[in-house]
Amino acid sequence: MQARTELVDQTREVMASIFGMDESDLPDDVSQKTCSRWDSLHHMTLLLALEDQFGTSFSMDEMPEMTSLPKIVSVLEQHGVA
Amino acid sequence: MKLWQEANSLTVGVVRVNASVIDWIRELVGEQAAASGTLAEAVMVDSEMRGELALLAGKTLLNRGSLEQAAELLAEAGKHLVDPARKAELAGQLLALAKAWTKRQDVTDRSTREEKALRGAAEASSVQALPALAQYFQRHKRLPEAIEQWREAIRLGPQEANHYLNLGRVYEQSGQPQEALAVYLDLMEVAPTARNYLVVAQRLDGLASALPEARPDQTVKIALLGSGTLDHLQSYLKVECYRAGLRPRMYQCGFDQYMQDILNPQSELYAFAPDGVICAVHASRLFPRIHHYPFDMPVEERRADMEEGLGTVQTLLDTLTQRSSALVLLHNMVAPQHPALGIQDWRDELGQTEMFAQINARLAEMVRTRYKNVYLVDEDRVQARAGKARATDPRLWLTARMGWSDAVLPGLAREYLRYLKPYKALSRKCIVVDLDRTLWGGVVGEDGMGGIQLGPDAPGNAFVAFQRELERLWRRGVLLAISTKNNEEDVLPVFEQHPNMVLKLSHFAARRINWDSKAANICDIARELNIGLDSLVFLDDNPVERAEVRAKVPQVLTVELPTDPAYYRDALLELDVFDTLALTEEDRRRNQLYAEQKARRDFEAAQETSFGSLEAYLAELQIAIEIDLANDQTLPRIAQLTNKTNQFNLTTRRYTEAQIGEMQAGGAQVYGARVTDRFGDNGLVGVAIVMPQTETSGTWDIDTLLLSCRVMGRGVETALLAFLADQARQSGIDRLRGWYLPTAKNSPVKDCYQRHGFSMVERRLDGAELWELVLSERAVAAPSWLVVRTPPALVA
Repeated sequence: MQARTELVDQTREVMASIFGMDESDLPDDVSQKTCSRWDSLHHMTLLLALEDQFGTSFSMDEMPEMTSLPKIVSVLEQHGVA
Repeated sequence: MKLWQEANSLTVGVVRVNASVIDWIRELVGEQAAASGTLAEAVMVDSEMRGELALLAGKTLLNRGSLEQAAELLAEAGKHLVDPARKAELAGQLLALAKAWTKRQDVTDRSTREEKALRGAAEASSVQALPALAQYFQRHKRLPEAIEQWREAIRLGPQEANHYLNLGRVYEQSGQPQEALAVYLDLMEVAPTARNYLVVAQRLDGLASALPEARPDQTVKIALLGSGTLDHLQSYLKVECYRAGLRPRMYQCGFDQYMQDILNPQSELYAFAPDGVICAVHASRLFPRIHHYPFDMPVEERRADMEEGLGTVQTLLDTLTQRSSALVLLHNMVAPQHPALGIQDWRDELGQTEMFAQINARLAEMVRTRYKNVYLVDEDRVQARAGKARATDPRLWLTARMGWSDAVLPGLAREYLRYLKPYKALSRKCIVVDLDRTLWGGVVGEDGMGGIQLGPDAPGNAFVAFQRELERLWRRGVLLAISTKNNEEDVLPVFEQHPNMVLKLSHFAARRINWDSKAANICDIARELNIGLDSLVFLDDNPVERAEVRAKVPQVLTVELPTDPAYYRDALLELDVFDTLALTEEDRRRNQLYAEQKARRDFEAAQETSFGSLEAYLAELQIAIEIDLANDQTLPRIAQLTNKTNQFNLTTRRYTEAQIGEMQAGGAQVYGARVTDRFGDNGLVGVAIVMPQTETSGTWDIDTLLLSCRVMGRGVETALLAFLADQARQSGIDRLRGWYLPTAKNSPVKDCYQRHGFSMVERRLDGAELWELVLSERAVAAPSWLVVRTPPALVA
């Protein structure tokens, strides 16, 4: 549980940096639908930044699916990032 | 005390239920406990033990939710614990305590308690707890304290990217955008990772409007045109511009809209009026069939397709260069990694690899012979250096049409800067080197000339290779200078006698062989060579010397030389700070020029006493100045001078060859002045550009008046102004006008117009001054000590 919270926070931190927003404006369930800055370009940028930060690589199938903070975190967990 | 006893009994209670903890405490307490028989008594006499128990008790109380008591016990533990591992554990507990306080809505002074816990944690383990403390200050808008803590956190953990990003954010919040920028750039030095490029690019966007307006010579407008998604390339380029000291403004064409942007005269591209245009069009767009399956085509068709693609490029460049005088950086084509016919490719007549080689050769030829302002960016080589297998990522191409991976983007962005830096006069001109352990292995003062490492075998051959590379730069026009803590009598014989020295004393334009501070010596060298500190690069194996120079003269580029001399040469090759846009005759001859300059100085020193006046001395120099209109041979040098001259430059306007060409077409007269003296030819060192004033007839505006610093103080400017006055009079012009636009560097010419009898007619708030000379009222005469020659055609 501790690890998951930390992963959520780290992901949120990268998100805030890439979207140019405050972390406090990104709730736990933030998604592409609820966040206007989360356009397709920011989406790619975010995924590349996360790949670099966590030393992993998302597949072409995963990339378009990672459209909310919980979905991103669950993919990261599947990749063994903790 | 009551609490303390309570804690002791509590701890004993806890340890009773956990046999392994009891063993652990026994081990720590040892004989003493055994002798006294009770745990508590042992605790009273051993401070470290007291700390251990307080920590254990505090932890238990914290888990139970008795925060106040836990705080007291953990504070007690902090007074006693010494062991780093225990202190780290204590810090962890205090951090947990701080977090627990934030959730206690019922406690009114919870934030004071949180701060106290965090401060205690930071005291127990700074590395662990400083970020939390800094964040606490940040959250409570206590920005100066947050800055202080983040700076300390960075000092302790210089590799932690998030510390920099947080510190930068706090600086932004506290209205210090320049400090924020400096922190982001520090981060890029420490950790130039993909994430940091992308995040910092984002931060820089937010920062741009808050930063004070940049000087014109520090700004650059860049347009990115191409056939794929260019956003990430733009992010990387933006970061690299800031790292090079430039403030970029960027334009990017719509997806795959490069053709429309160039061909439509009303396009946003032209409205943006770029200084630089980057054309990154993929081979599959320009040469689609050749790129996919050329083996289906007869040879004639392959040729026809090549010509067609090259024709398209030429049309685009013709149009672009007619409508814009910007510097154009055209990507060459990257040959496919896997030739279409496999190993048969080279046996096939005009196979795919061969076609790409020919296309690239033809592009280079086109750019060289047809355009003054177009340069070829060798993307094929940039990708090869990054590793072609990693340079592209099919996922990014297939999902987002991104043509480059993060493995190649930094290299590509830096490659553009190699053109933009000389364009903005940011190239370095001189390398100052140390000697011992830098030019050769060992210490000559101790090991003797025979004992230093320098020769055909390792490790001496690393130093030979390094010297060869320095010599190669010297041949390209880069100046070399020595700064070493040594005795001349130890060092000079190495240059004169050592058989494997590549560099001789004659390669060095200046040398400081003494025991003074290197920073002072470097400033001295810059003065002697009459170049700015920001033109210097410093190479020294000694980190202490490097730190001193970096701290005292940050304008100098101090290179982190690798510890292994085997990599010295690579470090030099990687610098990419010496590029010029044109290799002029003056570049090739620069070293000779400086040798002559040295002879002049020696002459000056020798004659100082024997000449009655400065004029007599100048007359003895036998200065001759030759002034002529710009032509194809002199134009590159004239453009180069407008871009690199800082001190003697009245207006510091930077022009490309194409822009000067446009000005000529608009009626401007562009003059170059060549200066010779008894010691040799200084080359083309002066430029004057005059424009007939359109509003007031009978007036010429002096758009540009500049001199290379190497001929300052000899009356050359007077001769130039006298010449301009002459030309004006012959054309029926009565008035010469010129601006003095102050910069950080051109104060030497502040009184130039005044000295020549001009009077000031306007002064703006920014210090710009407009000066005017009425020719019928005042004359300018060339100094008596120099001879002025002009081609007959110019003398009416």
